[in-house]
Amino acid sequence: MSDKKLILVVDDDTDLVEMISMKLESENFQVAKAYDGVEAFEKIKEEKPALIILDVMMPRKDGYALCDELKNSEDYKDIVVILLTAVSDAVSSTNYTHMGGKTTLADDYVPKPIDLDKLMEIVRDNL
Amino acid sequence: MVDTLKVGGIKLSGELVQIDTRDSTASSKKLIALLSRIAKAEITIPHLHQLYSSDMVHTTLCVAAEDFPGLAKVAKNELQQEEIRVTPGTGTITIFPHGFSLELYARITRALCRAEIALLGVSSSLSALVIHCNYLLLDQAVEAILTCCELPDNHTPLRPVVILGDQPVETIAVYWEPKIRIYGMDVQHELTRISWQMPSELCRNKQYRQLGSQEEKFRLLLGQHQENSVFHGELLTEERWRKSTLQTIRAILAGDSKYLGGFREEKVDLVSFHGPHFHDRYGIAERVFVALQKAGIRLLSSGCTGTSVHLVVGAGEGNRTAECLAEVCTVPS
Repeated sequence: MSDKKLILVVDDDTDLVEMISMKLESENFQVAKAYDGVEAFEKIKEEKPALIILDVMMPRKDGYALCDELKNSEDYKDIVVILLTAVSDAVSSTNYTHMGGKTTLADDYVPKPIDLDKLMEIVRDNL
Repeated sequence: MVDTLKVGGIKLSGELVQIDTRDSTASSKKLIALLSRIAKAEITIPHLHQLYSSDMVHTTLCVAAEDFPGLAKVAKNELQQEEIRVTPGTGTITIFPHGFSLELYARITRALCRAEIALLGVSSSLSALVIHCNYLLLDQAVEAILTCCELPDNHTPLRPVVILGDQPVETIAVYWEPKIRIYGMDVQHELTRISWQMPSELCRNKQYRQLGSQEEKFRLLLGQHQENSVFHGELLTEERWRKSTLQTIRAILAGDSKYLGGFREEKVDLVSFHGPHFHDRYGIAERVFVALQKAGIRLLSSGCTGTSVHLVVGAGEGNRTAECLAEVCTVPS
């Protein structure tokens, strides 16, 4: 069995999932991928990741709902959750702002557009 | 038992209008004029890709069907030129992740050919293959693709609606920014660019089955439908997969020898950058193409899809291209 820590990357932006996954693999992590909250929860049940990098706005189940579900569950509350929050200040026409990330039970959050090196630093600090 | 390849998901676009332009390689004046009109009208471009052949550049770009009337109003002259073809009722199928698998591309294009669904274009992003076809045939095309690909049991919906709380939310936030924010820029040197033209029906030949059969990977894949059902394809690959890929493509073209002459191979550099929500941010293509034109950098082909921009330039030109683009892009810190 591999001793590499498993990280689940969840975002409906498939290019971003790929980019983060490639960076994590280059840093010697094992990676699983999901493209919305429902699929992510299935993967969490199956694979029990050590950490989840989780987007907020997604089809079927958003990142806040999934994060709350995990943090209120005895089985999954210890999984580290890092929220990727919305494209920041320039976005005025959505009904979401990145400030919402601070009110969740997530362990940390990173505003988009993300700096991959900074994200890796946060991942390492949380494991 | 049918042997299928596993993919993570498939997404279908809304209705698009595809615009194909032809321009001389010496000047991309017509294209830049059109891109400028599109940017001024604050219209986003979900897909754009370009291929070069016989000293002409052929550009394929798409805009949302609801944006087209606005574009037609402000770009009346540009759209009425002889070299411009407008195809309403186009849609795209995005298949992800592609894992850079040439076999996946070959199987999908073969399945669509068997289902008699014409490919209006193909491009790859960092994660996904994007297939352009008739909007009304999207569901039929997915059925054909699922004869060779397998989705996970609980896969994300084909037409996703983003949910926040219990409510669907509008995530399109069309905006402009003075500098294009990106996640970073990547230059790959000394890739082999292979381009070919072939009648679409050669996808049915048994040689076509060999494409990708030795697990060859691509770094970029582009394709355009041309007149008389001829498909112009192009791929970038690394040295380790060059020989077998070349052999297979030559074998496919031998099925109709007059197309062997259109076969090209050369060394190139690939400059790629990725950023959040490019498809929501208008004016990106215009700024990139104008910057490259001003710097005198000749593009050999390009592909812009969703959140990825890929630019193919001559071997040795990659770093200069990245430096030139650094003036219009910014990496957040």
